[in-house]
Amino acid sequence: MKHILIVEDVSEAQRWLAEIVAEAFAGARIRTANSVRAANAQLGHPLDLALIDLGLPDGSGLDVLRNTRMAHQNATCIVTTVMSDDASIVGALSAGADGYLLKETAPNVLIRQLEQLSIGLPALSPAVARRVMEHFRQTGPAAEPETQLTQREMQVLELISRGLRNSEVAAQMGIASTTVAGYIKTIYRKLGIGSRAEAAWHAARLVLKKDSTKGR
Amino acid sequence: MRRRIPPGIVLIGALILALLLGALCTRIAVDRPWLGVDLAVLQGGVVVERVVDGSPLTGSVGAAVLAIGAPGKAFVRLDAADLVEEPDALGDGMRLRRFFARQAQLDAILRSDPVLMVVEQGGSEQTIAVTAAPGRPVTDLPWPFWTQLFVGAVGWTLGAWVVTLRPRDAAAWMLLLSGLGLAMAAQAAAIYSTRELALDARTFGAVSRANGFGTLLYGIGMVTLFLIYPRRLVRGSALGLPAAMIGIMIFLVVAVDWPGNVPMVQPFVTAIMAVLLAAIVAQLVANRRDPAARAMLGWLGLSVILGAGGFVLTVIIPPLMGRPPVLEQSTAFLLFLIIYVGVALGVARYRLFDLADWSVGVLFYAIGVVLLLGLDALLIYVMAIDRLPALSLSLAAVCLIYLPLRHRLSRWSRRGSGLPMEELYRLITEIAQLPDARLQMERIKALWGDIFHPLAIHQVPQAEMGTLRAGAPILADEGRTLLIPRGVNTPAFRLDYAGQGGRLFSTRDVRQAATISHLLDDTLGRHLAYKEAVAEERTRINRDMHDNIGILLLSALHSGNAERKNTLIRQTLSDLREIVSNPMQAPLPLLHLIADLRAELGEAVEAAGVELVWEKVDLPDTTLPSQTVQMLRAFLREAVSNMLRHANARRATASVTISEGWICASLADDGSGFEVEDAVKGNGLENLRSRMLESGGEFLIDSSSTGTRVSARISLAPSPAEALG
Repeated sequence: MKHILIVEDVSEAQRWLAEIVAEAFAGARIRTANSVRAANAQLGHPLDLALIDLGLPDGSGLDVLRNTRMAHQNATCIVTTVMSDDASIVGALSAGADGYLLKETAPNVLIRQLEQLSIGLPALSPAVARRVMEHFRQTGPAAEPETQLTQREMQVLELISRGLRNSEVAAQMGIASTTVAGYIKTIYRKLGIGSRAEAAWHAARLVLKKDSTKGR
Repeated sequence: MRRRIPPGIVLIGALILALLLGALCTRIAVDRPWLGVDLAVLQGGVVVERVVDGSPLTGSVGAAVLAIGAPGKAFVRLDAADLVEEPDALGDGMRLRRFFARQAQLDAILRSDPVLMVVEQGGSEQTIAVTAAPGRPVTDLPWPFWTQLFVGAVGWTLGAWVVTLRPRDAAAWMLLLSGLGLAMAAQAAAIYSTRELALDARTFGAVSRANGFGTLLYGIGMVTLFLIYPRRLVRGSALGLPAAMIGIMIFLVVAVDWPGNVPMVQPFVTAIMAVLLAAIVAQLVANRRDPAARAMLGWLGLSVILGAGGFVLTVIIPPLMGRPPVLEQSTAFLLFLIIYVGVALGVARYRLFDLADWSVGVLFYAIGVVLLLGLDALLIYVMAIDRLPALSLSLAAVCLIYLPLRHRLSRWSRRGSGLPMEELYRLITEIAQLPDARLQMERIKALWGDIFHPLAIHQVPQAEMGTLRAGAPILADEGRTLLIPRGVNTPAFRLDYAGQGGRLFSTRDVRQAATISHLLDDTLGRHLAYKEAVAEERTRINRDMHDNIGILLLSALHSGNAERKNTLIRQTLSDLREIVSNPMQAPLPLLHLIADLRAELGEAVEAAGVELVWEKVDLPDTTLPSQTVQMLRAFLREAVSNMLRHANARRATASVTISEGWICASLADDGSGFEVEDAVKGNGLENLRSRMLESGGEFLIDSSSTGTRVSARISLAPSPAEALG
């Protein structure tokens, strides 16, 4: 994690996040932005990890997330939020976020979560897991098979929604913790597939926007 | 069972028949020698008003025509009577005979070549030889010819329309009979009233007879119609009396010593008109207590009086009194259109002849089809162009002119609710959002009023509705009343006399009322449910704010320890997130609460390098009162944070169990223990302990050098304050 972008409009929170990131990833180059515009302007730089606040003064962090995804396919995009409801977190995951962090979390816990995320071990809270289950239940049998969860994936979700930690899930299912993390990532990906059409629409819209700005 | 032909097809047949009849009349009118002059009566003499281009008479416009003749034939002096539009008006049999004899003479002259015309201009007489063309061009036929054909076609078609829809109704057949009479009278008149100068004896005899026959047939139809419609005034064989009397008259006029009895026609028609008037008045009296029938009579009776009466008054009566007609007969025929427009409007608005408003659609349908065929035929045979462009042109004409016109006419004649759907929806939504139930009922009443404009509208107890099913309005009292039963959220209404008493409720009104009633009830229901849900949600948020956020923030405010303040504020944010995340989910299910706590506390202990194990217990899938939830959550959070700060533990076990009205929670660690009173002082545990003891629970801390166990027993019953809330 060499290049990190923090998108956060509350300056205290931005500073605090920067400190935490600096602690978690010693020697990383940290850039900050406090709006959708500022964030889009930063996308020209190399990027490994982006922490994106959902509620920005000039728009939604989801837009930043989509642009980042388009500009840097391999970057890890993490949504940071405070007081956002579970539904918007699920929305962010569908839009392609690799994970999410709650800003009220204690610093030591947050650092740990960041480190785990950066090595590909995403976390999922029981409340969000319940939302995700609900989402897949509503998608129903009519959906494409590739957007439906397998029995194992459903089992992982089920255990997480009951409050089990990744390690506990792993122990209970008799698999490795990294496998649990793999299942979670698959679940995220499948969340995203359902909303791909929408993402394509957004992408088209952004391209159009760019063109119209060029014309000016 | 006899197969019924769809009324639209029968009607198309009738229309085509009318067109064929019109074509026949046109053929008769054009198939005779033509001089190419328009003759007119001026000061008792005959003058040339207009001539066709290239005629030898070109210089003689305005000249008097004294006589016409032909080589080898005697000259006939022309007089004004030769040009009379309606010979019936000549007065007596002798003059009629003379007129018809002269017409035959004139016709013979017109068939010679050349025709010699003696004209006088500026005092000098001259004889001009004119060659009559073998036929009259269709375009030379004057407007009165076409208007009379049109009137006849309309009368016949409207009569046929009503009969096709009401084949068992004698009144409808009478209307058709009068329509047939009108068609015969008007179309026959069209031929002779617009002749250039003369018709041959055979033709004139036939069309004059047809005119008299039709006129009297019209009388039979109309008089009999008003004897039986709307109410049957005369029964049995007496009903045949008008037909018998007028029938005798027809026989006398047409078959006995023609045209000797023709002058009797006009006084007789005046008498028939008087009888008709009397019948209409009798109907009005008989139906004085029936607003619906009165409304129909208003339309039909008034139309007949205006139409037929107007014709008699302007065309027949003045000559009887020795004065010239007020209107030309050909123009006066247009008055008959009033009757048929009246019939059409009466059907559309008052279910005249019990025809529903869709019947207007059948008429338009048939007219549309025939118009298409007619235009086609016209374009193909008259304009003699290729079939394909002709079809396209007539299609275009129908699409561009007729169909939009038809659409507007149909909408106008139906005069639905007058409220477009989107306006209706807006009104209903507005009503649903009204805060006051009484106001809502008033607005619902006003809405029904706006839709149907009834004379009276009452809110009625459901008991009066009998077994009427909700959402299924019905017609009562033969369409005078519409009963709208109550819905779950709407009252029952009784609507009397639609359209300010001007029309009856139809089945279409019933369907509309059902739709609106359903929509109204549903919208009101939804809005009520919505309001309840909003109130419930507000209560939940209030309670959460009070029991949870308020306590956390208060603790943070009064905590002297900066780290403790941070912890409390973090918990506040976390709980706020949970409150906004779980709308409509009060109270929180126990299993979800435990799951959330496991995750939250798990993160904290894991980051601190402590292993937290949850004892496996089977918890019921139940919900806890909000206060219990807050206490349980606060207890476990405080216990864990206490352990992390003071106990120096490696491993801890948490457990939550439920038994007999109590929920028990405990946290045991393998740490080195601490001084209980010192650890508790100034942090959340102290506060928690007093709250638990107040609500009758228990709170224990047992710390030794081999470990600490913190446990609590919290009541599952909501506190009295919350039960009230």
